[in-house]
Amino acid sequence: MPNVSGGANLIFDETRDDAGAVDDWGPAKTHGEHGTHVAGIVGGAALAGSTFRGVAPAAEIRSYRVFPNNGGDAQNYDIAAAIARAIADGCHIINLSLGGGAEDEATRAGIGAALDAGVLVVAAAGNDYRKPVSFPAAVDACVAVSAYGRSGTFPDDSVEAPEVVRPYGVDPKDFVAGFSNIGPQIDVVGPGVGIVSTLPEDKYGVMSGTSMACPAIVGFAAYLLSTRPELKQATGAERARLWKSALYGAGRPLGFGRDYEGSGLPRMS
Amino acid sequence: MDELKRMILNRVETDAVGVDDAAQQIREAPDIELLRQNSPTSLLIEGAADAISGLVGGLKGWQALPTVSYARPDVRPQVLKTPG
Repeated sequence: MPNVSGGANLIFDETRDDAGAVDDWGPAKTHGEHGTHVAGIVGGAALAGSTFRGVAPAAEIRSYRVFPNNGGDAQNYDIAAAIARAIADGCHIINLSLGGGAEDEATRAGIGAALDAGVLVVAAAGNDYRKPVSFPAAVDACVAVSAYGRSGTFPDDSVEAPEVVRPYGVDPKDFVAGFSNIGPQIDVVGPGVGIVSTLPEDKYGVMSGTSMACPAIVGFAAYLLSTRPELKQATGAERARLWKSALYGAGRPLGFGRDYEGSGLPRMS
Repeated sequence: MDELKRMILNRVETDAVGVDDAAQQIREAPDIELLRQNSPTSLLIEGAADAISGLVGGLKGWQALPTVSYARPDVRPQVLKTPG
């Protein structure tokens, strides 16, 4: 894909007979929009004639597909395997724009191993309309991300309009997305309403969800890693601890309250 | 016949036998099928509960974990009104 930089693919056995899926670093054949949109938010590259770019356009992105190429549910074995492969491949951050299943020990163990290896795991809080933070974002080891929006950044008659609900921020244009899950596990908030990013076949489009807020925070975490020497020098669980501390320290409360935004929206100092 | 269970075998101790050795033991086990081996730390297997318990008992440093499904994230509708 020309509009998302970097890339190495990891294809599980289910797609090995599909030459295109094995050879191409790209979206799943069925329902590939979600992952492509998430990837673009992290590292979409600016192309000639387009003003779009992701939060960390120089980041190298690796795709570890856990949802089957032809659609359907993901299995926790594949999620845990993807996390283990990402650790082994030397990835610095893992984006988990997924969740909502029953709490499972395999994914929890994978996330714990990532943390021990100094890999930051960022997870979407879930889109269940103010229900508790879903698994795995609710795991302490994860950075749990809720979603906020800003009135005026999307048309009044768009599908985003019903998501404009209380609580509003200090700036009344800011609001916590109506769909966003909340709770004491929320660590930071990210933009997740009416987000423009990449879609398959070199297109761009709008999506909303904590799935979109999560990669925005991942991009910011990549920025922190590239600008904070102490994070590069640290190793193992100590690096993950310092990284989280830097991320939360960069949070600026928007006025929603901790259960809605954690330490707030991370911003450059 | 016992109901077959799908389980994850997870390597939890650093001195446990490696994934390849564990996979070989599973292939040689009569009542357990190795479904996937694409992780450096875990395997997906299927078999009767008793057979899996016996296997894990002989694999020091490994644990059996249940499988769980995750629904595909909701791809929210992108357009409320069509042009015109």
